[in-house]
Amino acid sequence: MTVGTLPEKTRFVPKFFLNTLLLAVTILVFYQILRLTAGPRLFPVLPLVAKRFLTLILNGQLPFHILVSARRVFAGLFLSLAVAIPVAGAMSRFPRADKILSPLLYLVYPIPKVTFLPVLMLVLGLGDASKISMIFLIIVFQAIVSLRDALKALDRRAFQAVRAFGGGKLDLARHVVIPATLPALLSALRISGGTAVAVLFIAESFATEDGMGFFIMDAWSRVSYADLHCGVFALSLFGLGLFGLIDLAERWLCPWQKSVH
Amino acid sequence: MIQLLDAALAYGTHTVFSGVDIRIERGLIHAIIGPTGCGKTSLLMLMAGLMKPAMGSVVFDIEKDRNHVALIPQDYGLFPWKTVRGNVLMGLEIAAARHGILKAVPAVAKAKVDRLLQELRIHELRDRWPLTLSGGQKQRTAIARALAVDPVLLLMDEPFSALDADIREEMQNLLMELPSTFGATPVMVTHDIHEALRVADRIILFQLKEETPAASFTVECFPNEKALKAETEQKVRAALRNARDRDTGKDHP
Repeated sequence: MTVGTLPEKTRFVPKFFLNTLLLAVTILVFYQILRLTAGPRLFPVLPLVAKRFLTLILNGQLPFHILVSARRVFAGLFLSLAVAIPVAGAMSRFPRADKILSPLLYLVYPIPKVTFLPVLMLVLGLGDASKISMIFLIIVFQAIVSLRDALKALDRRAFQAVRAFGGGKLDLARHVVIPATLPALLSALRISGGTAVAVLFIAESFATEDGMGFFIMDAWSRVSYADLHCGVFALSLFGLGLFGLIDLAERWLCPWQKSVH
Repeated sequence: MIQLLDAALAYGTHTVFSGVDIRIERGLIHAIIGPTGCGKTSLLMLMAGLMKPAMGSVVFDIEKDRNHVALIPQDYGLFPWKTVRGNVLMGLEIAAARHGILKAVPAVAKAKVDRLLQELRIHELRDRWPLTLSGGQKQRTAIARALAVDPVLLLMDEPFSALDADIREEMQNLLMELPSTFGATPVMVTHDIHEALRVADRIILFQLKEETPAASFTVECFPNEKALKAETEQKVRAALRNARDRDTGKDHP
């Protein structure tokens, strides 16, 4: 049997391992180049970093900080969706709401949200509230714009198809609105998710004692470069996990998308 | 079965048509034909209950038939996010949701859908997404979706316009079987005179009138009688030519 005729599921596993292997080799090569150019003090030998990474995982330090960061990201994500869904719904449904809210949206949307960080810390304090609000601000505008546009672009004929079967508003939501707008929502999460993790790092590097941002900055100030690299690697894995979750959600919630592409 | 009495339809201040009297007879295949923009699709919407007449009325001989009307839009109206089976089940899911939003479709109804998929020869496509289907397969799925809710009146907007010639003939044959096999009375909008003459028992010529924005008259067609068929074709062609000439401002005797 040739590779071309293997069923998709059988091919998926070796393909996944091949990709992971390729990624690992690329990282290792890149690290070695940096080690050669910047010097072994800043980039300790890889087995040492790997051993330290394992220790930090086993003693619970990295899992603790990752979980703290994850809690903030998911709280911000949840809050954003809780606000974006009704706001985008209102903007697409009522032209008056769209007219009032659009200028406000366009005014705030292009501003890099990290500029709000000092104000948020002053108003909400140095705890979780300011960090979650930061993530909320990053995701919510992207989600509102994407959702509103997806709702506006809904084909009215799809509504007719449901109404022709005697369907009401709940049926329209179930059979048309939710499935038709889910891809746009997940796309918005994918775009803003990366920025959210990046800005969370900045937010966690000020006056705090937990989260991946703190861990990395703390390692840097302790001149513990092995810990620093472990932190960066863990943060990357966290980002990978987040995007993986969104991809998984898309596969599960929008299985038809593969037929679109 | 259903009658439009002096019906008028308007979008805001724009009148699409008025003074329309049409009768649809149970068991006969009806084709609605007429010049572009005269409101043929809007007429289907009116019969489907998706629009309300600005004047006049839409009367069903048996009032409960009003809830047994299915509509197949021009592009088939299949949802890309539902599989073939999911699309066909939708009408039944909406019916089940009337007894509670999370109420499942009864097993008997699901079995009926599977039977329907087999009868329309799309059972092996049941797990496919509509975007991966051919025009004919989409059309069969749309018909299955409509038939799943046991309609007495099946409204179809330009059902075969996007199909290749051979598939079109196959689908026309399927349409002709609908009244006897499934008990549904098909009403289709078409711009193809030959299609109307081949398929329909009765042609409704939707004709613009001079003095009012729009009105209609019906022309009987008997597909099996060649002499009458030729006569009907002449009538339909003359009427369409008149409408076209009037639109372009050309005088004619």
